[in-house]
Amino acid sequence: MLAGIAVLASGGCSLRSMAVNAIVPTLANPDVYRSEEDPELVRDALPFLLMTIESILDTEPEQDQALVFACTGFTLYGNAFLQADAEIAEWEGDYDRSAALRDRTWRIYVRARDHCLRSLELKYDGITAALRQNPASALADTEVADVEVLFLLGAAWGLAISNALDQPSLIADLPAVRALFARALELDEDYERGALHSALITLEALPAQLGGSPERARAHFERAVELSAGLDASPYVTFAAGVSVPEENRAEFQELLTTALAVDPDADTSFRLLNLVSQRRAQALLDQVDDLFFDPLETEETLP
Amino acid sequence: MRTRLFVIAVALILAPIVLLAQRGTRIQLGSVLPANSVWDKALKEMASEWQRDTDGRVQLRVLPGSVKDEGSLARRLKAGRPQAAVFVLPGDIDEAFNVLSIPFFFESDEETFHVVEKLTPTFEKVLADQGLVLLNWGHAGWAHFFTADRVETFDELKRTKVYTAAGDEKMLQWYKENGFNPQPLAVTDVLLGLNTGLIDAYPTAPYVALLFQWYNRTPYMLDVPLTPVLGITVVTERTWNRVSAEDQRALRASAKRVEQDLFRDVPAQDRQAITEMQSRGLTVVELDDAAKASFRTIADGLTASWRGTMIPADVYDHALRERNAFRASR
Repeated sequence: MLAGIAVLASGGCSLRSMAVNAIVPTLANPDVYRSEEDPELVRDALPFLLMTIESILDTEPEQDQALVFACTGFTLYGNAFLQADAEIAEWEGDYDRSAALRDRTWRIYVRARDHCLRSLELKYDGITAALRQNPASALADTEVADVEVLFLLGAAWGLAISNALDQPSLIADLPAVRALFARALELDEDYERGALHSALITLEALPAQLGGSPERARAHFERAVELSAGLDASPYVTFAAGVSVPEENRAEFQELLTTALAVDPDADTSFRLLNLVSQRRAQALLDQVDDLFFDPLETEETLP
Repeated sequence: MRTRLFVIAVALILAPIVLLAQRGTRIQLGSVLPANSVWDKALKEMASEWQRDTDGRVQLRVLPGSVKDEGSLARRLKAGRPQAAVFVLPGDIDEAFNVLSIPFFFESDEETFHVVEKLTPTFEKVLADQGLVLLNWGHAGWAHFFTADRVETFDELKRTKVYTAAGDEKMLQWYKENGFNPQPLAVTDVLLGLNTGLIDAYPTAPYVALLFQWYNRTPYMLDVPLTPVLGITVVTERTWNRVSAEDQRALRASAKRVEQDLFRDVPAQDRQAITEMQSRGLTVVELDDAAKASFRTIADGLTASWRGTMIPADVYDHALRERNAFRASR
């Protein structure tokens, strides 16, 4: 009798796995979201889908496609909506709203990171601990097929850190982020028409003390634009905010953002959603130009 | 009738002036602080409070990382934009602030606060001479020595190739005169200096060693606090004088709250940073009380020469008096 129940239960698990394996590819199709022309629809739809995917993962924790989609979806939601809203609130001087959004943002990225780490663990047992201790050697066995997860993990982890520099437990992992992008670049330099280079603009725009370099950021910017044939607005916005502002180069800032706004979101539908989001950021940045840049010193009135 | 017309005319003339005054004071606050750090978040909380507490009459825009360095920030502040700033290294504005950076001079936050409080009128005066008003102090942690090899004595510390800020000739000279082996570098070159072996020791707060990943090359931290790192928030007098006395009181109260928050949160952040670094291989070199006292005694002898050279003599004497009085009261 007990054996019969065990067989039935086991059969039930298999049936459930089969059902999950059948439904996940249909549910978790990031291309549908990337090409969406209405960002607000994605903003409303993604949370329900992500909770559904997490419910699936609760019963099927090793469903890799669901893990990767959860990582993608939480990163997308964090970046396109929470972080963008936080930045815009900040530029508009609404610091209470910005702080609340920032707090949600880094937690969402950490959630994304953990899904990606679980995906990598399925293939490379113990890689999470290894990434924290010796990131470069931890990634030595990864291959071209892993680049998507390496990229997503680097993005989620790096964005979590940059939104929460008051969390020592997070910032300690910055070397892992660098190693992930370095390895992904080594394996597939033109992945997703410049996505790696675009992400590396942010990393290289960090202060030199944090290992950043404006020169390397510029090289990644130029390569990202080249690989995307200028159809991706995000490198322009990232470079303008990350490099032109600290370099106090107002003319370049305005030129880059104007170029970003001129990108036709329909020219390449695979960039459509992210282009619309980037253009919202670009316009908000341009609206704040007088706060982001101080007047040239030589034309300013001096204090008594 | 004529009087009534006059009143109306005056009212019409005054109206734009009144409206202008009601528009409030907009203050931009520049800094080299990283966005989303504990300091940036505290300043943004202060900005929200300023807006609330003055019913929108004072609006503070916090602009982290808005300039390349604090030298550029000081020049821009004097030129009028931004109108407020945070300086992590106030000693660059006036040497009086160097009194807060004397190696091994302070033993605790309590002692530091006492001296800071007693010397605040002096600091306010030197800032006023430059057209600036002191709003509050910011705690950036306690600097400790991080070293590539284990260091337990002053002599061992002297043998290290220690980082010192390029351009600070007086500090370089002091190091050399006292038998250290200083290596002047731009702060942006510290990581390169560590990687190439040009330097193998530097003083910094634990959070900074973690954030900049410098600790990877220097796996020992000497657990004798070197000096507190105290920043200041200032506003130009010209802007401050546009704010009513009542609003000034509200802004000062808010700035004080932020100061207290930072003095609570930053040491906690440093303790977390040390724990994180320890889990990744950092060794905290703990000394017994006698060894710590020995460090302080030697340092007291060596840093006495800062009096009158790196710190105005009267400021040095005042700080020493207050510090000793605090210790005697304990």
